[in-house]
Amino acid sequence: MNMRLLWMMVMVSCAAGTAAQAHHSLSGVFDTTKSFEIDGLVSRVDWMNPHVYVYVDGKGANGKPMTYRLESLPVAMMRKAGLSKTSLLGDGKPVKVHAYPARAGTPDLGYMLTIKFADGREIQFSKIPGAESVTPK
Amino acid sequence: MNTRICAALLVLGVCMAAVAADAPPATPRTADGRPDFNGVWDNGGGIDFLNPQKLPDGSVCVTGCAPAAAAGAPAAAAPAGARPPPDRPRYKPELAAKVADLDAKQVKFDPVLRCQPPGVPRIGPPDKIVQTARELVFLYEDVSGPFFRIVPLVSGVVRVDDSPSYLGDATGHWEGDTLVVETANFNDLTWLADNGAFHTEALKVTERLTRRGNQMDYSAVVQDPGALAEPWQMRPRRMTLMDKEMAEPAPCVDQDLHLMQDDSHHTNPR
Repeated sequence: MNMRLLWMMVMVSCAAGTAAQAHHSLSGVFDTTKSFEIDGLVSRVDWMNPHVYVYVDGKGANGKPMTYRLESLPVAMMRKAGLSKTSLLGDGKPVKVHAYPARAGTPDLGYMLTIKFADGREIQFSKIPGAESVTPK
Repeated sequence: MNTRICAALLVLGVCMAAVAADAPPATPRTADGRPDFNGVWDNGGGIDFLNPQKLPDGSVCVTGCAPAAAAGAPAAAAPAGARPPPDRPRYKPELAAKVADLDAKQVKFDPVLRCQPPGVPRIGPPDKIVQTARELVFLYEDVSGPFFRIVPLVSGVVRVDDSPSYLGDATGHWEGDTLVVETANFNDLTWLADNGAFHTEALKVTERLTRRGNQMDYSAVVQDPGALAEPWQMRPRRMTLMDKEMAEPAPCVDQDLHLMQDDSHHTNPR
């Protein structure tokens, strides 16, 4: 049984902090009805508010190298989940990412939904469109 | 001694021990006898709805996790709480349209979305308090960045700049074991809460902090005769003393507002 696949994310979160919050809708920037996959290497993490950004060196639709800039949760939410810049950088081995695409069509921009590391560790930040809660087998 | 009396005393002793075990820890005090507010505090708001789960293999579920038992994870904390209903001030009737307009256009006008200071009481309770007999210093890790407030407990303190400011000029005094912080001299560049809750420079905020054991009750009352129809008491918070030191707050650098394709936004819980 793959326990990592048993999660159902019911809420899409955007900017939040320990204190003041303000939210623009994710759907204002990203197409939250779709997702795409990236295989690549995490090359950089911007540990900042209102959103942490993870950069993944992968390939574009044309097969050429592309660095994806992936928006994610604010720092406070990462910290509450026990996550740090180090844990997002991983071990330098390939990762697989699911992300919402940008509505503006910017090919290298996305909103990170999940990231799976080579050691099997997975972090799920938000719901993958169309995904349902998986029942234990 | 009579056996029945011994049994009764034993039961009484067990009961007293149980009561003592349930009692909150005593509130520590400083050398001058005041409640000790020093420490790092979970400020009891903002992201309390989050209930992240960690699985044995190091995987992490940040929000909306499936029930832990079904996922085979270790026993989880209580399920994520429902978001409370919005907590908003009541404005003068003639200003209702302005609030509604700012609310509708908050993606364009909310200062916090642009990493500007959140103001008071929107910033909420402090994340760390440093206390002396003469002053308290409130430290904040906010989504807009790091902030601090200095709360003098003595009169006659003169600041190097008396300009109206984002977090105002605070003064404090003790009412019994409650710290009362009165703040004024605000600019009008912040909001009281989300969703268009603007204020004027007439804003005055009174916060009360009362430590009970390892918890602190926090409340804030807002008065703004220039905008509000009546004083507004923000939903009270309960802070909890933490056993970890505060980390360096992350800087706030907006990178995506220019990519917004419309004005859509969330309804916020506070």
